[in-house]
Amino acid sequence: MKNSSSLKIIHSKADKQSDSIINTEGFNVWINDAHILEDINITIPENKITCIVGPSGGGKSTLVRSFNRINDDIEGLKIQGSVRFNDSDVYDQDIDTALLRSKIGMVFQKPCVFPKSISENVLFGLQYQKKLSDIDRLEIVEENLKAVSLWKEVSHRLNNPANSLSIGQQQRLCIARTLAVKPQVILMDEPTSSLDPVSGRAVEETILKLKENYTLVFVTHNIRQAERIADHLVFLCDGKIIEQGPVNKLFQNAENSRTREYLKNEFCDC
Amino acid sequence: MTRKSKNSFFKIFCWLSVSACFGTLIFLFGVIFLNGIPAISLDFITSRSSNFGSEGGILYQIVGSILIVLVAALLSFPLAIGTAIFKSEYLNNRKWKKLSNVLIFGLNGIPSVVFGIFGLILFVNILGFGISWFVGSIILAVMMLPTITLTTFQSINSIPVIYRESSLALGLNKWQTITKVLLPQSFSGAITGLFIGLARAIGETAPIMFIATAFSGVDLPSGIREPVSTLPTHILALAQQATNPAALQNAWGASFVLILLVMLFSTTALVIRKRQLSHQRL
Repeated sequence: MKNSSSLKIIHSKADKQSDSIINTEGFNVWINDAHILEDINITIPENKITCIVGPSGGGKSTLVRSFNRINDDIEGLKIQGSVRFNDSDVYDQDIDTALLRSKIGMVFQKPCVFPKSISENVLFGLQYQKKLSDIDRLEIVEENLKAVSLWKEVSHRLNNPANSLSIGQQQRLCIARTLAVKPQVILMDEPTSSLDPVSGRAVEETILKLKENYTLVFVTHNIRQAERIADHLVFLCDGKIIEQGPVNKLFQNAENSRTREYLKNEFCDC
Repeated sequence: MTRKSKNSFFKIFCWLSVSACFGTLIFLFGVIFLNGIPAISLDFITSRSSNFGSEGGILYQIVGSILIVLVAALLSFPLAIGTAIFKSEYLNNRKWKKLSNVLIFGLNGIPSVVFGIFGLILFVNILGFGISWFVGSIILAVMMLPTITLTTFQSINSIPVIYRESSLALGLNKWQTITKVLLPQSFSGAITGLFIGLARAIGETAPIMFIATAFSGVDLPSGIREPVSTLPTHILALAQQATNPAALQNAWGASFVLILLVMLFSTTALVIRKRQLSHQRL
């Protein structure tokens, strides 16, 4: 009970700081009998980087995967409560999930390029939404590869197979492919955890650049990474939100002792 | 027995098993090749049979066999792809998945002569279709269905979930994900299954002998309600005249050609499969 009252205060502070784009209210997820997320009330501010941190198995991925309903096909999934995106209910029966996912893009932990060329990968999501002329295609490929700082590395071999790229480049290509669809929000589920440190930093820099135009929700279990890139921090442990708020406040002056403990020692006994 | 002698005994047993298998195969191929090759001539494979098959060639049988299995493949392939997609992408419930396995393996386990009787009763007796090669194709298509379905299913189902999620996350709907991501990656698996099915179907005798074929006096069909003659049923007819050396010679020749066609389909399946595997490794 103590937690939820502190939560409400932080909630209202976040509201004042900026407009929110995704809100959840009393959101619960069960998979078969396991209660994965419990009474989640969260606010994702627009055009900021929100980092969701917490120990593994705490429900971070399930939470972001609920925002674009990519979890829908999981057997035994049951949800309760609401997730609102731009004031429309994501779990409304009439919602077009394909359209929702083109507004809320997603980058996964392991880069997964399609067995096609580099430029075809960039255009993959877009080409089934609208007809593109050859000039459009070239422009879109260049624009989005530049946005992820991959253009210089690959501009001379756009027609090469995408799986000839290094794993870090593949992950940046996955981000470019997501940008091409022009989403408002990009969900990132530990996008650097399967990369080497150098490629990981390159992806981090890309993400910082994207902040101006996109809302980013970034799941990580790397606290230092969250400190480097986040504006807003959500601490999720054992399916519950322990605390959320501006990153400086949580790192310097967290209200909950468990948040302080976790951000300092990466340990949580919840 | 000491540990060491158990070890060598087991090794010898394995060697004997594999020799028995390959020995039988080599013997069988050897006999058919040795007896079949003398019967083969350009004339044999380009002329029609006469005198109940003991004279002339097997041109119409070759054409009949290929016609009946190719049409069967055309009928079976889309259904198999549809079933495989449904089983892999739309069946989420574990119970239903199990039931679908039981049904597919059940279909695969039905003895071929039962298909023949089923075809005879349904198409010839009840529907009054008469003896028709097209009915034979329908029955062979049903027989090929489980093989092609399972091979296609395995190749769709082995595509990692992340490909589906990546595609859905880019705003493609399920249909687009299936046609643009999953099918292109599993198509060669489906083609492999198709050729395995073809190799099996072209050698089938029992399912088509009552409903699709005539044993002598057959011309090339001019419509779908006519019988054809096929290599396996022709061999059966010739074997019944085994006291006639000319008929027996032709039976060996026809067997040789049939084995060649089966090998052609099987090796095509193998080559496509190998290509697919090396492509996946890239």
